[in-house]
Amino acid sequence: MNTHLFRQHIDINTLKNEVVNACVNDLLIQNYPISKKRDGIHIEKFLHPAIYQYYAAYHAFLNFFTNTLTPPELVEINEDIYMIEACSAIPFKEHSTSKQILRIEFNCIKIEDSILHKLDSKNIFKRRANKIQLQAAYEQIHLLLNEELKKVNSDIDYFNYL
Amino acid sequence: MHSANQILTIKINSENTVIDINPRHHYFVENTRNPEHDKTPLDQIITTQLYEYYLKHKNKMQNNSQLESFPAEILSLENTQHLVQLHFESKIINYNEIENTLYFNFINIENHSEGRSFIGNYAEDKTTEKQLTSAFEQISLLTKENDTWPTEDINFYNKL
Repeated sequence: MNTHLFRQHIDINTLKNEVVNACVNDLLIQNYPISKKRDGIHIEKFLHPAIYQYYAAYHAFLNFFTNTLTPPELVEINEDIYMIEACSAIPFKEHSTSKQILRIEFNCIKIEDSILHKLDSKNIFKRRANKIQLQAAYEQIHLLLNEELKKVNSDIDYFNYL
Repeated sequence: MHSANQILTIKINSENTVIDINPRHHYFVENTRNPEHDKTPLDQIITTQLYEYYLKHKNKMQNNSQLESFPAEILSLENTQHLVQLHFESKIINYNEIENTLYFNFINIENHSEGRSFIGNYAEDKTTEKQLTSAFEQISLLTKENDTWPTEDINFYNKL
């Protein structure tokens, strides 16, 4: 396992919902190099969709309660499962305007299959079972089609013989 | 924020003696004496469960390695479940000394959620389910066709 998911943070300009600074693992973000862009990037375009969904769900909570952890949740990123939680801080606030920088710190732990079943992740198991079933069904279709093809060919051979 | 959610950083030497610990007051730290003065072994500093988890992976830790991660585990302390993951770093100080740094990362999973139906996943799930239904229908059709083949073959031969 080469991915180190120590707690990493992003700074968001809450007025525009843009990421102004980030120190995050590649897994948490979409392929969007922040350093090459002068303008801020909208948080939705910056974060990985699964992480963004989590952030969006607790956005109000993170804005209101700083230094409090959001409830941990299982997320699926590139077929890997992570337990994720977040907390926030406000490193900059301008009282005269509504300018504010919200710092979100994400904490992720990778979940190996060996402990996944202890976390009652019904959705994930169902999804995996469906994918396996689908693959098996396609293989069965392929086999049946092959058998039919063989029969058609043997009929053609017999017809030609006659 | 509860101390159990803070990263517990422990520096140990090659004799498994604690050189430094941060934070000193942590949910999974039992002995808060100054480790630098006491030269306390690791097993006397952290809780038994956390030490057992560390022992499981100790043999896989390589000297002079950059940050490595080990599989997470669920530990229960005072009826509260925590997910813990160990990250490890090793540095050769001199000919005799190796300094190992253990980073224990925690998430209190007592009230964790199994995960929402994310928009992407939801759409993907629906597609897979539809594909699965049509695949089964196709299998059933093909199997029925297979059943009628011998009859059709006999009719065909009879005609000839």
